[in-house]
Amino acid sequence: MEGKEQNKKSMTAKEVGDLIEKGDKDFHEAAKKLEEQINKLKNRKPKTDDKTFLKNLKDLEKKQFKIPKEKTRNKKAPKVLTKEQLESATPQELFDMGYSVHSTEITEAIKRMLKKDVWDPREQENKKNSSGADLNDTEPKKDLFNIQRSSKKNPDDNKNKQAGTNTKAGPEPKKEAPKGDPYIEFLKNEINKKIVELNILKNKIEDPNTDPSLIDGLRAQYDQLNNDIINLQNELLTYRKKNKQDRATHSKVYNQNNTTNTGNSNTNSTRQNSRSNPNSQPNNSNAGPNNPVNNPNSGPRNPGNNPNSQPNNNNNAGPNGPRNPGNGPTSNPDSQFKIQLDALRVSYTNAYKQFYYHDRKLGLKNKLRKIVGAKLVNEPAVPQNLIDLKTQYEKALYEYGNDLYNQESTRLNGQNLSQDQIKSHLAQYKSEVIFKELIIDEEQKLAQQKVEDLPRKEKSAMRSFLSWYGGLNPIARKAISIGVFTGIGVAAITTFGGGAAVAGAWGGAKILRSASGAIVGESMAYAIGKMSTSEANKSKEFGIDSSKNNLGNLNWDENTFTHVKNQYQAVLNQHANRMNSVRKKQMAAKIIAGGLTTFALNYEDAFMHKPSSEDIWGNKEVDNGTGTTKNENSGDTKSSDNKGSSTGKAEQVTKTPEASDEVIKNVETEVSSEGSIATVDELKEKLRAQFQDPSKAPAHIRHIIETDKYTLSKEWGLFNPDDPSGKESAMMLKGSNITMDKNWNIILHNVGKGDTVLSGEGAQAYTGEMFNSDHQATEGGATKLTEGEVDINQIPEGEDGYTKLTEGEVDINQNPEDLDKAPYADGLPVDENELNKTFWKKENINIKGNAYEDANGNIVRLEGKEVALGADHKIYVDGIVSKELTEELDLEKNKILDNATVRFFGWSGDGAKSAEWLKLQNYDMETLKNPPTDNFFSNKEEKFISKLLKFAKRNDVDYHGKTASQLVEEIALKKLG
Amino acid sequence: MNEELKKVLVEALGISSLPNDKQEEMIQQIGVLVYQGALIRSMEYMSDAEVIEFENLTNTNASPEEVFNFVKSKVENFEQIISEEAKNFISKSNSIMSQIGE
Repeated sequence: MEGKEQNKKSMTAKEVGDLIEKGDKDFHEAAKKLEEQINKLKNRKPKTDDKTFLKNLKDLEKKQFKIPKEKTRNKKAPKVLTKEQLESATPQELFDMGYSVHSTEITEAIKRMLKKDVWDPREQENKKNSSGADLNDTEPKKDLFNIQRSSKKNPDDNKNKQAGTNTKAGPEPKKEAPKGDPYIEFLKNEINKKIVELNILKNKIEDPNTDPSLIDGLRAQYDQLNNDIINLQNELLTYRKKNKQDRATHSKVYNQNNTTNTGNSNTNSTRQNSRSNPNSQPNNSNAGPNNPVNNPNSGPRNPGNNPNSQPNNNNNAGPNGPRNPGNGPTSNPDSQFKIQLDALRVSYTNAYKQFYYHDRKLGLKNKLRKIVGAKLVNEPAVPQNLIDLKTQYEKALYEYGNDLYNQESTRLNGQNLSQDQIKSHLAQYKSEVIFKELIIDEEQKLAQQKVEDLPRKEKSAMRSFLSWYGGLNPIARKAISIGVFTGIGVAAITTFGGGAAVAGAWGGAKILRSASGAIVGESMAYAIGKMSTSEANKSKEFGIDSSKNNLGNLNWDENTFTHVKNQYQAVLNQHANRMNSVRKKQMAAKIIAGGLTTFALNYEDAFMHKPSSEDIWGNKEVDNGTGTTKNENSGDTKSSDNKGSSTGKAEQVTKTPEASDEVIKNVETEVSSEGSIATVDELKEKLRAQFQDPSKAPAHIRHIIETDKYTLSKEWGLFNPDDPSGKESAMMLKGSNITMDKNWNIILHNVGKGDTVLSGEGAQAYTGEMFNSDHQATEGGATKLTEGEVDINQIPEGEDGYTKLTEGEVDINQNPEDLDKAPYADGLPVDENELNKTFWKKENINIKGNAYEDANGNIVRLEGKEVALGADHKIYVDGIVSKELTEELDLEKNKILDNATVRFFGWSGDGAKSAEWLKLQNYDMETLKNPPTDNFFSNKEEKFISKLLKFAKRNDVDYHGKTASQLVEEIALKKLG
Repeated sequence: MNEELKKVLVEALGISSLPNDKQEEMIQQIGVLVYQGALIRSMEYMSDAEVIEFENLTNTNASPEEVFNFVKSKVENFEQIISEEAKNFISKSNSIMSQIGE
């Protein structure tokens, strides 16, 4: 303490605590009034050009929580706090005065220390016994210093405290008479505290007098606080909405524990021990001394799946058995090790950012990108301070890990368990709880911070990537993870066994470069899906055979493999004759060469283009370079594409005289508005007109003339009546045509999509966009069914599984075309806009105008309406049961919803997102959705949100009765208050 | 995943005492972190236009294969970067976990 300050009047700890609390209350009240004013203004719908309004609103918000500069700046850290200082001290000011490296926790700790008489019954009792003897000036100072030292200098002191040697380290502060649910009260308090800090930080960042060198650090703190607030808010929402039952249970337990612990005189309890205290389990209520009061970790953070809040019957270790590691990590916000870790993480990521984007990126990016593919040895040297910080950060990591481990060990040793049991539980605890908290969660935080620190374009791209990843199906996600590790190889991983040191290896990159001389990416490339036609030859270098042999091994376990295989096999059985030969060859090539991983990634693709079972599981090899398949059993080699005998022989074309210009002109056929089949029919007619004697025509031309239009359309890939999603017809824009060149090759010129040789030299099937043209393709007007399918156009009345119709009900036998004609049933889309609409509305097309079978087997006509389909529902499209369609729709809906929500609440950059939302509060929803001008949103985040809303709009599909855009709008409105 | 590879990976990560499904869950979480880290590093080698192109690609329903091939076409060392990031992760994990409870 400064000499002058020591002479000032001393005050009791309670007085100090009350002052702080009073300060907070005043602060909250002032803030609340300001917020009310702001809300009033917000309720007034602003005109979009009302700049004055927006300025006033911003000014008002800026005024909010404004701290006089003289109080926040240039204060040297005093050794103790005087009464005057404490009267005016806010958490941020305490932080500024140097009392902590992490303001929230330390500030709260200071408050607790100063208010012991309020929350610690033992201290309260002591005070009574000593006739209310006040803590003199030196006591709080000492405690404060203890906190500082323990958080910064001497972790061992903390260990001693946690081990119970420091009896002053009491249990969690007990809130005075919680009014409602204690856990909700706790969350609310935490949120309020953090919001206050957030606004202080915000003002400081915006303050032009703030030292620019501090801005990055302040922003990092701001983001971190933002994340904390969002997590707490989500926790609060989740807890309120979904866990009423558990909440009631918890409250009961909480109150019981409070009652029990109030009279508990056992002085061995420590705050640290309360972290892992199983007392929140009902059958542990008499377990012992630990006091879980107000410890969120002993509360039902996730009551739905937290065994800690459930009766402990999952082990035989007795009523106080070891905590089930299955709970996941439950970090203790009060742990000094945790505080230290948080602080060092911030320091480390800030230094990393400084290095990456100032020392390294700005100077080198342009240079590096000119030499794309250059080896990474060009990376600049890492500054020593960053290496030191990384070392310190990793040291803090394992110190915190050891802290967790020791706590659990201490707790288990207090139970009636054998050493073997303890050892076993600790091993599991380490592997699951500690591993997740220290390795996975920490890495996520680092990764999140790195993304947030990226330059604008890169950050936007990474967010997009994360959104994209979130929309992938589980198999694809798994495949990516497999691929990442497949590239390393067993030998390389083994070198890390036994605790190989990595100290000094920046980012691991340098040491790893030397550790792996060989390029190991090939197998990974397979797994991630590198295999493509252009790289087919390269694949031979590392052996198709070996990859094929790995087919059975490239899975996580036998069950998964069997499950996926069976699923796929079922699809194959249903659609075995659906795929054209070229696609079959390509798919088989990918699967055999790429193994199960590639197969998994192409799983959805496989639904659309089915290779035969034999191609995938059987005895065929595929030569990717030539496109020929070889049957191992027969040894026969044959062409598998359109050059085959069934569709024409290219070699014969070369022997035929060239086509004249006149013939070429006569054959040219515009794409018909009636669809691809009509177009093919017209082409056939024109070709036939050129050859009075078809036998004189080139073979492939003869084949066209002699083959019916449906078969031909299917051969060419222009028509796929069995497509599970109903997109049976090729999408061709107006102006497209089919021509013949002088070598008699038939070529499709699809506007904006490129050319496809349909028949002749280099022929291949059309693989472009398909769409649902509804009924135009049915042969003879009848729906073609395959075995096992149901024709709803047949008379079902009275038959099992069908609803008997009564008067007034819709006759499901009525011709669907009369009820609801699908879009484009009469023709093709004619412009890009319509095409886009078709694409995005495909789900609606699939559902409308048909029927579905409900869970009871009743067939219900949709009559053009949309329904929310259950998982067990079947959809009838044109009379065909389409289970796959149901699944696909569900997948699509989930994907869209994921895409929409991950942007707001995903695991990347929640803090920044929250900041975006704060800024967006200046605008009403209508403005957000329809900005009056293109550049109305000058802020990049606001543009981003606007873009997202547009995305949601164009992805409108039904999801639990709501469209995606409705959901996004709801989320947005909720956020906007 | 090759069983041998999975086995050594699980050992190296120190999660062998977990049930199989938990092991897979964790490996999957790690996998995307590694992939993400590799992409962040790879972006350094992309021009601004390529970064935007990458964003546009992921804004569509691009397949994992397309995304991988795109980055690979822009960053020749992409596979190597992934490998390094993966090894780095394992190394770091092993280093930290081996010092806990010992």
